[in-house]
Amino acid sequence: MIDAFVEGVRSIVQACHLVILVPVAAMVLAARARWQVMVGAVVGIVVGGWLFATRWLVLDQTQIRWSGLLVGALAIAVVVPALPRWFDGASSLGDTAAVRTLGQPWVGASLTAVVAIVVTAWWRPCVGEHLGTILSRAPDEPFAQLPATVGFLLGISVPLVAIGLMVRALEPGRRSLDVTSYAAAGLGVLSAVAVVAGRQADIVARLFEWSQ
Amino acid sequence: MNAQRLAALGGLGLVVALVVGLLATNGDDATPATEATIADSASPAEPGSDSAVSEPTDTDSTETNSIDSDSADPDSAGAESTDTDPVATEPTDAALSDPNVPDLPDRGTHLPLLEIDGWLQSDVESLEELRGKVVAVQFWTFGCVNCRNTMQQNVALYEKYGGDDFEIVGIHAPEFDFERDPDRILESAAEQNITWPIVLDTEKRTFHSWQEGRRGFWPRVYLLDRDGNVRYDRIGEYGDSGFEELDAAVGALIAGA
Repeated sequence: MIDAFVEGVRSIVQACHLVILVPVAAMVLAARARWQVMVGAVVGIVVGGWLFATRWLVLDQTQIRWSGLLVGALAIAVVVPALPRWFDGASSLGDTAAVRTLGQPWVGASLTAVVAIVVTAWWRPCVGEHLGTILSRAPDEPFAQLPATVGFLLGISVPLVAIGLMVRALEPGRRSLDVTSYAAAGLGVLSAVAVVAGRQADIVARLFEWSQ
Repeated sequence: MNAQRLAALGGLGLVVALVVGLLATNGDDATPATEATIADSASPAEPGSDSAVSEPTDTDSTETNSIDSDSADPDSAGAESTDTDPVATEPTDAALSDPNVPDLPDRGTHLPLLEIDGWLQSDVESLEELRGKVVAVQFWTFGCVNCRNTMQQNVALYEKYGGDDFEIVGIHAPEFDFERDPDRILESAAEQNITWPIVLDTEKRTFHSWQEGRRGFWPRVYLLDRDGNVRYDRIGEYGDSGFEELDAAVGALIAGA
């Protein structure tokens, strides 16, 4: 498990994981980097990654595009509670039970977890030794591979925790946090649009070439 | 609030230190692949999916618009391996009783090569022509770091077993556009001492057919026995224990497992 964790941390410099990390980081920031949201993000990645490795969750191309719509919708939903503070026309929204509920930390955490699970289905991982063993064996022995899977996925989740901690350490004012949330939600929506449009692989390719 | 901020700062510091530490040590502990022969840690593998398996058919309905590999080493892999055979291994019971030998269930005949664009560095133009040899079929692409990390071990395997009993076939399935150029593939092959036959699967039809749709991985290696049956499957880099297992599996298949 430790070796797999180490491999996961080392692999964060590879472009392959950006399809997971970008939308989930966007959700973490859009949901104001609360502790609960960070936990939700990590749990979602672990659960989604395990479903990916065991092949219990396999989406075809059409389903992946539809799942992009879901991710975009959730990225927007998570910033809705901040809208009334910025737009006069939306001020009445803030009083509604639905918006108050959306502003609850556990809701942000849950939505982030859902996004994390969904985006792991988009993943085309760079496969090192330990992840290779996990992917080779997990379909036949899912529970035996669970510790290593959790270790690897915790490793690739480190940047998300770092981003969340950074925001909390900087302790931005409400307005700055709102701006960050909007920008992050926009990034989440852009990721979703790239998937819906089928351009995600091209974007990763550009990043990959750029990183070479 | 201050306590929370301090906790966040402390946590962030720890996370950054962890990442920097691990990235800084990246490679320091890398063991040369060819040294990966210590027989102590390999565990039996459960080969992964059987997605590359078909019912026995008249395979090689392959469309091989074979590319003349004049630019490649004229001593193609097949010829070279037959001639040199540096460390010829006799099939022995020892190979079969190697504790590193994984389970090698017969998963049926391999799937055909679909709509490929030809072969490089090869005298053969179909997998059927390699019947009688144990064949390691590896899906790779030259831009893939993880694929690159297996090549030194593949070379070691080729030097150890290559010849009448063993062949490697690299199915090059480009992930990105810049990996589609055969000249760059050959250039990369030369750089990495890849002398075995290369199949050009430019549109990734074979890649997706042998694997599972969008679940194709680079690298992935399948071992075919002398009759063309899929007997072993591994995704990703080998590492030391994975290489020991692969090495033992090849030895056992050559010995008739």
